[in-house]
Amino acid sequence: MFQIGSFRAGGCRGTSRRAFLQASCGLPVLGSSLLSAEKPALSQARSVILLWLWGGPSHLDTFDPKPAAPATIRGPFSTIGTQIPGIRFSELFPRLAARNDRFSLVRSNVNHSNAHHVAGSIALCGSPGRGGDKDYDPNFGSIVQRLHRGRQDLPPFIAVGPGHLNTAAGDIKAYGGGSWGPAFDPFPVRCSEMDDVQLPSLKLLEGQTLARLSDRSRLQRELENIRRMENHSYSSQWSNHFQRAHRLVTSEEGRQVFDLASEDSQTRGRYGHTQFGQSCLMARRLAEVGVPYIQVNWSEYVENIYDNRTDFGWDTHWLNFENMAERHGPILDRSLSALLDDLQQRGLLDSTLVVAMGEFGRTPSISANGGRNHWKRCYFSLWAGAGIQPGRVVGGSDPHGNDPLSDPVTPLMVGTTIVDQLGINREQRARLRVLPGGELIEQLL
Amino acid sequence: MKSAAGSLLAILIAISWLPAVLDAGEALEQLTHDGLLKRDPCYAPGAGSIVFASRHRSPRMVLLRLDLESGTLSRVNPDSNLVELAPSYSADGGFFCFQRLTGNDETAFVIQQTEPTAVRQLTGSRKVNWNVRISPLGNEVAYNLSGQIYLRSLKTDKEMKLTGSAGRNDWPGISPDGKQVAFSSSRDGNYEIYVMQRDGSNEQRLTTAEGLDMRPRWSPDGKRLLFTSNRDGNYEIYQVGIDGSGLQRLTDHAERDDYASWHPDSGQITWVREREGRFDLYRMPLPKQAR
Repeated sequence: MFQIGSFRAGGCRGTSRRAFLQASCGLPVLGSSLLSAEKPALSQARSVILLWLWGGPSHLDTFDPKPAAPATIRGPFSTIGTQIPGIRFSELFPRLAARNDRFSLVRSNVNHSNAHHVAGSIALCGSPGRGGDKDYDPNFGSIVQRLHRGRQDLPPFIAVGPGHLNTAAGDIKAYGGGSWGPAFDPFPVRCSEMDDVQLPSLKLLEGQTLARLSDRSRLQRELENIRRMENHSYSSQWSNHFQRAHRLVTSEEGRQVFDLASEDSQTRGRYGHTQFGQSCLMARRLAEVGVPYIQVNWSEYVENIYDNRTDFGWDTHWLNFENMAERHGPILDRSLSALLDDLQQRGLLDSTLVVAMGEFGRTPSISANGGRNHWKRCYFSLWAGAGIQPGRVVGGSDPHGNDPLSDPVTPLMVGTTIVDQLGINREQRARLRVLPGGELIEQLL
Repeated sequence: MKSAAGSLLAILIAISWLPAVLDAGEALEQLTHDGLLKRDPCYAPGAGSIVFASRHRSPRMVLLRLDLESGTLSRVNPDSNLVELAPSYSADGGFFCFQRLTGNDETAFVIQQTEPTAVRQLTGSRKVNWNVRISPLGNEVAYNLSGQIYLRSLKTDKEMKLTGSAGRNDWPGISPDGKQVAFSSSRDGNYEIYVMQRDGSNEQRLTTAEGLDMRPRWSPDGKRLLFTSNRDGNYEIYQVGIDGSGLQRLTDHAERDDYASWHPDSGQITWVREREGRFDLYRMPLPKQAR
């Protein structure tokens, strides 16, 4: 049995008090028509999965180690060989090291800001905000959503993770629609490490029955009630999400895609029973049914330590090495490796573009606090799948990881390459006035 | 003949390097079953329960107590809404210590005294102190602050810096007699296990391996250390004598084995075992050759 509102994905375990709708376990597997959707051209992606490593992972302690640098830069981790001769990773990533002939690495990303909420916004929309940190272009996923002409029962831009992206200094501005408004924000999905998949937009519907949900006129009246109760901008955002959610719960296939329990336990285990691991599995399921843009968020907060809000973001001013060894390294290594394996085994990697990145890197010099601070001048991004030539390393940083030695890759180039792989061409971008003048990262393609 | 003798020698060498425990079989006991992330198990005095950190029925990592007879789990601090980690006890059970995440890059340690009952929350000289452990004698705590090891007296509150080397120094643990501190250090390039006197003198390196050796844990008899190492490709549990002799691998699996802890009788260990992506506590007796 699974439940909608707060899906329980652990099999037939009974009813939650919070559930408003129940469906039997015996639902058929996803329609073959969905799975056999026409394959895109070789260079084109059907879906993008962006793994958003919120907080800014250290490039030196992950995929651009500097073993010959002084200890105050190198850090305590050893390096290991990979499938590509001469390319070494941190010892914390043995699974990815064994698979880097299936992905490519950019070691020369650069951003324009050292502040999380600014750099994060730029990294997700491609450009600095206008009027300071205010008016941002839409997220890459919002562009995809606007131009999406595929199936309408699933939202085209879905964010899987623990919640809206936040920092102690404020929330991120280009999480969604930006200057286009909240109607283009991502549809949020939350996965726990074990049982629950939640669709926060459906909380308004608690206590409803399928019959009531299917009564569109009644639904419309209830939406009107909500609009009257809430201020307009809030309610319009919610009503947009609500309507998408409605389409989901009244579509059997839509409901099925969020049921992680229909995966076998071995597959779930390969991703790891962590929030990030199960979110990556959810992303694969969404890509499988043709959702064009899925952003998986590592954490809600950037902060590594943040009282009862701690969800161990990548912002490791303190405890960089402790948490890299205990948590961040092993979880990312396992989940991303499983995602690449799973996509490949299902024949989906050729049509799914996978990108993993944060908003910046971290200082090459270890700080007095024993961590690493923000570093916009050089960081990494990892690329795999549709249209990407595997086994390449684009750019390179200097001997201490301070700056790119060649091929600097800007957020504008990242966004341009992502949406271009989805078939959104230069003319379409110009018409929408997004990603102006953006160039592709040609070395990846 | 030479070739046969050579083969025999090779086989004997290979056997001598086999892990002490390849498959504990029936002796291996699974203690938890929820599969949620876990860390830092330690036995409570009397060995009737194990305290560890997990997200069981909580949106955040908190301390849980597993009653080994009934199998029931309960919150150690049910009223706390902060992340809690790194529990440890003094040998007589008179003191219990753990760590709380109290703010944006702020931590504190909590010392609970059982007789007379008292609770103290201590903050360090800087904001983040990590991997705190109380002395088995209950008189001081050891912790990592910005990559160096410190001791702090619980009577005088005086803080003493024990290390000042290059690289990182972390995961300190005080010996059962209170005279030595085991820790990991990257001063020689990557994390290795070291032991020093409690005043920071006479640092001795115990391990030499390409890879990460971390989280040393003193056996209750003070003769051996358990630790985690990825020297063979992923995190496994090892033990070594405090003179550096008798290095043995105790687990062997493609998934993670980590956070080892001794039973008070030194004859069995408990640790976090990741299998099929699930994290649970297990325990097993040490085979005779590993004692």
